[in-house]
Amino acid sequence: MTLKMNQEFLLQLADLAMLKIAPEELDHYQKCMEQFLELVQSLEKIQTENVVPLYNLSREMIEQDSSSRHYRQDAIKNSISLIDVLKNAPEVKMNQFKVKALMEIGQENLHEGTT
Amino acid sequence: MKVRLKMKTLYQSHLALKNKEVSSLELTRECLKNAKSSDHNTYISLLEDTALKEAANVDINISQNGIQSYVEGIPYSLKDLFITEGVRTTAGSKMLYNYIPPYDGFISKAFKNAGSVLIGKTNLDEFGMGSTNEHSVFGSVKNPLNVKKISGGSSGGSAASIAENSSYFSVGSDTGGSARLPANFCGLVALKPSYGRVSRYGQIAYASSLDQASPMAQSVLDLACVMENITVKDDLDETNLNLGAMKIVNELLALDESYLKGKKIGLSENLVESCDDDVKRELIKALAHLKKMGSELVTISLPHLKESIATYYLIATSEASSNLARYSGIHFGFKSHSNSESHQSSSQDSRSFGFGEEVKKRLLFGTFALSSGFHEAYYKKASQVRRIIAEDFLLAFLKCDFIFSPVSSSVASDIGAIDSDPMKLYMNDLYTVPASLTGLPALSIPFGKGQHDLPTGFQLIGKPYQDSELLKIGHSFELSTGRNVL
Repeated sequence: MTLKMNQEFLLQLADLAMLKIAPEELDHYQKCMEQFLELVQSLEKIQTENVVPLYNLSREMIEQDSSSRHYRQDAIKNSISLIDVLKNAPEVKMNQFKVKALMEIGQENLHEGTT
Repeated sequence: MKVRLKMKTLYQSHLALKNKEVSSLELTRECLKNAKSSDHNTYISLLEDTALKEAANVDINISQNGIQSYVEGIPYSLKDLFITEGVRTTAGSKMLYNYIPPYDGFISKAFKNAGSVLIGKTNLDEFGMGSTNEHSVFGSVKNPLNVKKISGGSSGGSAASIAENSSYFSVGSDTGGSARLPANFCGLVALKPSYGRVSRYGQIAYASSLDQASPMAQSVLDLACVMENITVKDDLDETNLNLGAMKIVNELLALDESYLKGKKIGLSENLVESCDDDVKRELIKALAHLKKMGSELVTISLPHLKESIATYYLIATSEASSNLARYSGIHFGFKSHSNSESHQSSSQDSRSFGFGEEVKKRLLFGTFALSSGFHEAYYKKASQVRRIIAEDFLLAFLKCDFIFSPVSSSVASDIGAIDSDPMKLYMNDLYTVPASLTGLPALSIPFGKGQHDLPTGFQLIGKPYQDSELLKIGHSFELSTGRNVL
């Protein structure tokens, strides 16, 4: 059975995943998604009613064994310096990460923002 | 011409260093020479200058204080998925092509403290996503045993570095088989430890509930030497369990091949039969050998094994879509210089040009599996099937001490052969994903030769958190075959 994923939905997914798919790539990614859907189809027939999902084995172990549980002290400690943090940033302005404007505030000279 | 290392294994080199028959600088020079003359595309960053300095320093330390650990002075390589302070760490992606971490992760710190010599950062499938090492922005890794063949992935560069004699061991990572497969294709051993055994702090995340740092080497004894150094409890990874550091090397050295006697080997029906003829032939030989050594074959039932691939790809892509959301071209990594007007569009451009196709496919699918309206039917469903698979294994372990399984159905394929068929790429992981989903320790051991004289091998899956027991069985198996011992 071939499973279908329409291109409009695929574009919505891409938007959620913060990706852009060029028009010439659409058919290719659509085919890939349909192949993935086919690959995972086999799970449908497995009876899973009342089965507790297994998300992370360690978390389950830690819940059972308090010696593995560790909470960091709520204390101030040295961290990486601002200079080191900004070293890898693609664009920096006034010791801050530079990004495009996040909202329009009606002033022509405010097209850039920082976080 | 490859320079032949004076000592073949980590442990042999350790003894030679201890007995002052060789210096760390000599070992390091030989490894660097081999790395530089290699054309396998093994390294993304080769660290010649710092390696020579580290080796000279460690030689002074050893002469003053004696040798402190099995890995001191030993040249090693690190998958470029583990962050290293001041050393570029790319994850095989354009997204991180210029990323220089401001701090060390758990693994690099552990070996720095121990005085191991880092030769270089090895090539990998982008963010660990692949089993052939053909999905790196830095190009495919060639198998040093036959350059037309894949090295396997995603820790392909790590495997190649040991096989080409440019490192004595490597730390790869294994999410669904990424250390066991390349070890199998390059004739090496690899241990995927139990989930929670080794800290993931500073390991660039692909799928957090599956990722484990995994040592790769020439012998099981070498793996034990490495494990002693990376199993200290680390509070910086909340999923790292308090299992106690593994002190196992002396136990291994006291063993002989009689350790295999009376061990019960679980064998799931049709598993060996599903492999190519050459692999099947060697697996049957390995089983016969284990039987000859006094182990007992027990038939077990793992009824949901074939659903592992679907379960794995749903969980891994879902977790990846969440983990990789951090790459936006703002704080670090690649930023597109497109003329996008908005913040959102600019980030989308950075991600679309920064990630490779395989990564984008997985992000799209993971986003789908987690999205409103599909989450219950896909991600949650897969997590429920994951529980069923884990329970199958626990039941099977009531009848046996460890489980025998193929690592791969075939020997290393031609470069480009699998890549043309994406479903074949995913099915490659069939035998390795069950241990990942269930968090069980799994050891990949080479045994025999298949087509084109390429290595074949098998996998032993251990009981929960019995990594040490698995290494003992693996080591006594190697003793019994006379392969790579001491």
